[in-house]
Amino acid sequence: MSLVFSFLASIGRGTLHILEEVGNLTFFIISTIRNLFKRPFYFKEFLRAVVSIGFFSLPVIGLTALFTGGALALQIYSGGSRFNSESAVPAIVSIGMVRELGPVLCGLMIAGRVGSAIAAEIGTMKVSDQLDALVTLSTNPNQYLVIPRVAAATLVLPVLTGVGDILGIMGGFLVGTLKLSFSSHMYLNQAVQFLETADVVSGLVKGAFFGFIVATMGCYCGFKSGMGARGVGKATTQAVALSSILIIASNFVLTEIFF
Amino acid sequence: MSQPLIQLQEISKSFGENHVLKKLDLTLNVGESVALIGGSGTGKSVALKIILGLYHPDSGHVLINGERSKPPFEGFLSQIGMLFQGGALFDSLPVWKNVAFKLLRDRKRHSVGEARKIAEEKLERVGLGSEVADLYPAELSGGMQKRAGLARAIVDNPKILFFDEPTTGLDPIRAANISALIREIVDENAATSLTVSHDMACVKQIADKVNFLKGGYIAWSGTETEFENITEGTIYHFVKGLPDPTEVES
Repeated sequence: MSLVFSFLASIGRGTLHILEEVGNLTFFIISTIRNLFKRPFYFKEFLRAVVSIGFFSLPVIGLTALFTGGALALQIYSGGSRFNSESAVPAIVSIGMVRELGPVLCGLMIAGRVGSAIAAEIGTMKVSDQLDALVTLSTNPNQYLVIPRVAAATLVLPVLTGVGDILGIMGGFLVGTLKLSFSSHMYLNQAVQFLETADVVSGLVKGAFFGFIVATMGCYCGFKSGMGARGVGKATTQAVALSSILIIASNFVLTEIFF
Repeated sequence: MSQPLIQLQEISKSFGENHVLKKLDLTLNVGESVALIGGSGTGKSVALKIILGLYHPDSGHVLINGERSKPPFEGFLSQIGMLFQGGALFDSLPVWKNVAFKLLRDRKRHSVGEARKIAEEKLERVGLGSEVADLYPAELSGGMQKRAGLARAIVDNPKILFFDEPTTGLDPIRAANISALIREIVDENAATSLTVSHDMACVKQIADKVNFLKGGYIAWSGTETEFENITEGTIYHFVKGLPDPTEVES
């Protein structure tokens, strides 16, 4: 009997813990959105975050998009040949990259590169009393640390997504023209012809949304970090895992809304 | 007698099943240099963090200048300086920007050049040359970080100073130097100070009044002279570093 009770108790504890986490995260997101429109805005911190999130992520995003575009072209060509649709390669690569793969891959790569770094940085600051020091220096840690990072990630991710889209299409173009015998003129013409403004805009909006998710989750996990190196490590892992899950899930919801 | 600057009234604070503070009463009068001592894990730093509004008490009240206050104590925090145990310098900023952090936030009162000049003066005051100004905290030794943290605490000459374990992790000579420096600075600024420590040499050098925290409340309180002449009880064992027969090792 006691085994049954302890089993039920563990389910109850788990449920309460999940509800508490959801509540904390909701309050954190609400206070972040509210603080986005409050003064002071730490512009230097914002610029530093733009460089760190945007500029230094360009190689990772560029290479990922380039190779994914190339692989996509090969896959579509191989699959399309089964029902004589090889000529659809340019259009499908461009639509696929712009609508789905560009923003999602960009979001996931940034979650791995930036979300983890944000969580580790803030977690370390917490462990070494730097967050408390900010408060005693009359500085709101949310305003100083969270807002610049969230604003930067939300604004920079659409740009990175745009770069990823272009390089992904380029990857498809290179494979299409060098390996699959498409003429460059025909490939580019088809790649652009079937692309609509709504495709591009929806991808960029997704990018902005994913940027908000990555930075917010990184900051949240950093602030909730446990003590010691183990606590910071756990916060870093949680930031990447939670961001990735939320990106995949919200991508479905956003796609449902847009199309 | 004037109103106490800070009063903790029946403050209780628990972390899960661990009841750290139990109806703690503590008073800090203007101009006093008070030490809060006690063994590890007795809640000294928790009490300090409650005063600063970093922790919310489960029950009880914090009175600042006689008025009940609820965190964040924004007005109060702008008047204080705080030295953290490990210095708590911001890794991403050079030393001078750490020291001038408060000044750089108020550009209407201080230009960047002025802020840097004041920061270098304060670094000089705590025995660090201006050559460390452009270094990053990771490039400093533990003792230097503590001194830089002290420079940050006094950058705008606050009248209220808090020190959390100012000598922990330092060798005896550096610890004595930091204690002497803190005493000088408190006297120089005619400041009110609260020092949390379990370093008896530091407490004797800094404090006019000593409070001994045990079991979640103040178990002994007295002047520095009374503290020096204590001959019995748990606090005697604590001060002398002797095993306490009344304490059961957990």
